[in-house]
Amino acid sequence: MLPRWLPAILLICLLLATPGCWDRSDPELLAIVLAVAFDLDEKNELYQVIAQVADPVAMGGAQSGDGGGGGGGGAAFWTVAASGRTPFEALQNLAGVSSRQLFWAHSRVLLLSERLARRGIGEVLDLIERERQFRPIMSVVVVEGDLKGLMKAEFPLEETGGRGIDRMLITTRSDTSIYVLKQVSEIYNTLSQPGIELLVGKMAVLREGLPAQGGEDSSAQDQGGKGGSAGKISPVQIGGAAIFKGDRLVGWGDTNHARGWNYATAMGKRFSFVIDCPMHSGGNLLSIQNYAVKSRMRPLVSGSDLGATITVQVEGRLEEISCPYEHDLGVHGDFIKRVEHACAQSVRSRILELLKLSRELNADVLGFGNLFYRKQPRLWKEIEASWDEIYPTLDVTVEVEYNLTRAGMVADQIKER
Amino acid sequence: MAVEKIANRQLFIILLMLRTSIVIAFLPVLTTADALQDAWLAGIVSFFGAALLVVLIGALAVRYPQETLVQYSQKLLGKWPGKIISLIPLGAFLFMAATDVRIYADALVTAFLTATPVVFIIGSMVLATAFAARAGIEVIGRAADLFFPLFILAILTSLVLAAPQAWQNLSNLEPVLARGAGPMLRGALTPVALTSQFLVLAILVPAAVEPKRVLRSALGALGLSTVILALISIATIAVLGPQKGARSTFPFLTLVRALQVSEFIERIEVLAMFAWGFAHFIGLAVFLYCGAKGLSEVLGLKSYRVLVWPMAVVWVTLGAHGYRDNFQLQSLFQPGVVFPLTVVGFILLPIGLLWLAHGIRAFAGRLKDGAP
Repeated sequence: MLPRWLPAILLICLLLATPGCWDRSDPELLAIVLAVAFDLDEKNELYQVIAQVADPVAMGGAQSGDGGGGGGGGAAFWTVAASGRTPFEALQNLAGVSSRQLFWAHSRVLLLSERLARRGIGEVLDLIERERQFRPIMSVVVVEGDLKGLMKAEFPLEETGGRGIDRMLITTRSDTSIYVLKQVSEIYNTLSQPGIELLVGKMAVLREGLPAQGGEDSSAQDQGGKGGSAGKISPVQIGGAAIFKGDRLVGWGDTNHARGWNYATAMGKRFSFVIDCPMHSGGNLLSIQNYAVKSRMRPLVSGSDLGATITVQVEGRLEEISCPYEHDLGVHGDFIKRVEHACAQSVRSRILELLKLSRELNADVLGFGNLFYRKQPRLWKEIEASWDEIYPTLDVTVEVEYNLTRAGMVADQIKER
Repeated sequence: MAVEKIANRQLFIILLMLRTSIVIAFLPVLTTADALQDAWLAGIVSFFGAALLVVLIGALAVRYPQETLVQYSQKLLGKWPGKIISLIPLGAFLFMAATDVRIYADALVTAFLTATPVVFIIGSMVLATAFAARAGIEVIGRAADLFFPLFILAILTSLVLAAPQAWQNLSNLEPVLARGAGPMLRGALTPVALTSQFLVLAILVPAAVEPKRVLRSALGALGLSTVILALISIATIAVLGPQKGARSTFPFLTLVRALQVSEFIERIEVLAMFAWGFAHFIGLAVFLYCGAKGLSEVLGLKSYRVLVWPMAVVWVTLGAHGYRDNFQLQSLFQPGVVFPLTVVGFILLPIGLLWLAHGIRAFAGRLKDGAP
């Protein structure tokens, strides 16, 4: 029999091993990556990885700094890039230019350049999926324009660029739905499902003086005026969608297309838009915000004719009446009914626009093929091979039920006398 | 020396954790065959096959409530054939324990401690379980009592946190059974094959307070673990998608990694590893205990305790060197490999033989009684 104290000693020794001495990597020796981007160097056929790394020295300086960072002190992050024949080789080559080991687990956004996306994102995705440090909850963005510039850019209000991009995605998701937020894990699923193509959110890098692409309601803001006192200008315009066929980018959609997607799949949280006042047309506007969307897709099969219905139920509220005339918000008047009708038309046309674009690109981003695969698997087996020919002429009905539920804190607007 | 006893409740917990640890480890319904989105159905179907095998093992054990398999096999088949036959389940314990510990170590090395030697993780785990096994089945039973709430809490929390994302993506479960029942049944094969874990019943029955009711505890444990299996499968398929789930080396781990409950609650994989670790510890300790106990009876030793350390050493070696790499480990769990090995080799061969002997003896006994 062992002495009784021996197990106790051994167990304490085990404790020493629990922190994992083999893998000891002290946080102060790691370079924490905030955002990771992949690009393609077309001339040399190389993958390029760009990492934005938190710079603890600069961060500390900013905190204890000279009051609100008036001076032109450096950014709190460092951007580093390397190339390689495969994404992983590029990642490894970063070691040659960084004094610290890069640590990827805190990266919250994955940016992909247009060049790379057009060539195919499969290889990058395989690396991200296999390597344990990358999180499946990273948000994916396809970037139009100068990716490296974006990775170097500073954001107003945010300490680091990576955080800025991340916050931008989250804010947009809950406020306007002009963007399609996708996490890495969702992308794997979409790519592996039959009959559905990928649609990922888009960011456009702004050059100074470049007008942002406008949506239906010209959501392009002129950023803080022309060099206003605020100084910093947001380097990027969020909104829109990148449409893929397989793992290759085939086209861009604007904010309206992104909204169409968010309506049809009920993924967005809040949407706002402006309609013409249905009673007094001619530049008299009403602002509406939707706050609840439900959607349902159903396949329709009659004989050899294939079709599908999308039913979208939206609830919204009046945010603003800019129409100077009086309105009857009572249940007996037909103002509410006509507003609802106009709103339904607006929602419907967003979905139809997306549908039209996806047919032009022949990329079934709403997953009608997947709908047949799920609901009518036998039929899908027959039509799977020819789905690319069927989809552009598929008979799709879009039904929108709009319910205007409230008008905010007042009924009608102020009556000036 | 007083006979050590565990409550049937403790036996239930031990068996549940034993069975569920495999499910958490690599979700065989999804990863070993082509069941894809029908994997959760495969989990439910596997219950029936597994229950049949549990009854086969348990019913015989219950007929000899005061004896272990080593003892009643000698009674049934004669001294030497009995001893030889009982070596099969004892070898199976060692084999399953070595495989279990290797999967756990591989998961840690793949996802967390990339530079740590596998043998170190295996060694630490086996050291801990060897202490437990030496302390006896009562101690293991009490440890099971202690870990059970934590284990269930960890699993429940992961499931609850997965629920919103799973609910949104339930369409990933469609189409149901579109390719017929074939793929689904193939997915059920490996979980059924892993019922060989329940061979520990044949050693543990005499240790139970109520040996007659052991079968109920065993089937209860199997039932509850099936429910957990089905729920985890549904969550995994819904959140990750059928193909991604099936391609994952450790789907449950990948599932919790993919969860983002809110902006602030994420990276909850620690829950999965905790649940797995607890279940794993109990399972391994029981395997080691049963193996040593059985072997000591084969060899006619007074106490099994002297065997624990030598067996632990053998076991570490087997765990570390039995498998060259993760690919070999995965190919073992292909239904075509594991099913004949465990179901025919570990269960049907010894237990079937014993049932046959039992039947013949019972028949002969009746003839004798009935004879004038």
